[in-house]
Amino acid sequence: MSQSTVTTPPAAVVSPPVGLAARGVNRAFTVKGKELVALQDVDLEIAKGEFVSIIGPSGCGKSTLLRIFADLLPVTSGTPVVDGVTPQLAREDRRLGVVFQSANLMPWRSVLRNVALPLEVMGRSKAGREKTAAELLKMVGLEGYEKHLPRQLSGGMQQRVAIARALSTDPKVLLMDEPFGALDEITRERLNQELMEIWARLNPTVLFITHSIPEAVYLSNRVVVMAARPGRVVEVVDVDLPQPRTPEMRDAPEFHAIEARIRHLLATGGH
Amino acid sequence: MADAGAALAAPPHGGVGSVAKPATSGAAASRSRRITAAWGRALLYALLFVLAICALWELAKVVTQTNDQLMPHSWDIVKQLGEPATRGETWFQYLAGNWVITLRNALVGFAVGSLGGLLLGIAIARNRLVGAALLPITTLMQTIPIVAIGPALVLFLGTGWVTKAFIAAFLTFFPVTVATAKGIAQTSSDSVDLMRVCAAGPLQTLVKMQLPSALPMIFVGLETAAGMAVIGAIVAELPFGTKDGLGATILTSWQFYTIEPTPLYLAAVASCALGAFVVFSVRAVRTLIPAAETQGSTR
Repeated sequence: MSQSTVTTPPAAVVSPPVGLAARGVNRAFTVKGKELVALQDVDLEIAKGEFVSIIGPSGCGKSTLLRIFADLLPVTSGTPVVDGVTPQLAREDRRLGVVFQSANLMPWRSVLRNVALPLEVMGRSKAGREKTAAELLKMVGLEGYEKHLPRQLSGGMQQRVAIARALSTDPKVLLMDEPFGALDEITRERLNQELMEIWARLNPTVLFITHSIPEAVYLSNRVVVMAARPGRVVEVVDVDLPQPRTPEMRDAPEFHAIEARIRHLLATGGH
Repeated sequence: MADAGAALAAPPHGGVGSVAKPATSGAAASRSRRITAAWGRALLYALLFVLAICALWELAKVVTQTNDQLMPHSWDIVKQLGEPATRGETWFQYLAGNWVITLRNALVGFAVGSLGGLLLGIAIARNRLVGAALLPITTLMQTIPIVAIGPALVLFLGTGWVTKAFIAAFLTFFPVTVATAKGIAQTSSDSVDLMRVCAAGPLQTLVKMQLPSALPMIFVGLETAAGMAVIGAIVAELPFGTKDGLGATILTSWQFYTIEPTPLYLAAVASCALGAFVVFSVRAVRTLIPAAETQGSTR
């Protein structure tokens, strides 16, 4: 069982369709006259339908990479690819769903109308978008909470609403920026399980940013380990655990071995 | 408030409030209940406030041993309402008529000034250049004493109600502009990102996200402006040769103060009531708009 892989596949292998890709991506910021390299020569290929996590210390550029894919930030150089096209095209074509660290719900809108917001912006009919939103709420386990206001829900429930909203346009790519970072461990594990089920059912390409090693291992096909100053990819670790994942796997020796490998990479920065 | 609390605590699948009534009229019923409750509270507080002021007034009168000429008894001021004023009207009828005239001027000015302030606030928040160019001018305009430009306004706009409404609008404009610009500028960057990911246009972002987010702040500006509009409308009636309105009533009562002191106090109380009425009306409207009542976004 190999735990580390080469990022570029052998030439003989026919590469699968691209879900997300970064080719020689660089991003620099100027802070108080000083140049700060947020991302340096990032190369990454994520196949359609793959679940990939990014883990790394603060300042390693993982959020910057996600924002580049979401077309919220331009690159300094290099080529980002989202679902086979540029991030801008993918965003304008509504092939992207983004879940932020905070649920970021509109406090005056009911749960149902929060989920339906992207469809409302698209101009979908009221009946159509509310039907879709109700189905998605059922999928994230919030049936019966349609008319509630966000502040009446717990943090975990709010984040479920945010996930339902991100899924409302049936996106090909789901970008998640530490979505469960503010939740307690029990809620987090339950939401991990639910996210696994949603992913198995809809099979979007998922890029998932986290600070939690077990979360990254549990959810992902592969885990991208990054390091800071300059922000770069240290290694991409394969997670050779069978699908679908079950809670018992968290206690398996293979699981712990992968965790240990990632912990080692984070501690040494790949050296 | 008890009704609203019950509605919030209601469990999913229906809720206690909608069991007794058909679902369609539930929202309308709770809305009218909220209006009634808001007005009921406002009137109760106003009554308690008036009683407290009267008590303080009488206490001050006793302690300082002020005569009835300088400080008439509060009940004598109330009694004045039934006394004859002019043209066979009682003071109550006379004041009520002028109250309505000033209310109309204040409301027209408030509406025009608020709309203008809202539009300029949006322009300032959305365009840094417009903000840099217009905000200093708006601030400067605010410091112009209304009395200084009053005579010029009368020349331009005449002595009619348009001048009064204009002055009310002028005073309304600034607080609403600043509140709107600030409210929109405070929108969280996550919400801006969200609208961008949804591929929302500038107008959709404004209408669906920025304006609703700014509403609590905008209403702070509107409540301030409501008081200003009333003061503006009354002050506008003072020096410009007006016969109608509370400002004119104050001026007339003031001239006859040494003969009969109570009408001036009545006119002052009527002015207070007008200000309170307009401010509480704005507050009542606020309670009907969900986005204006929910502060901040979820974490």
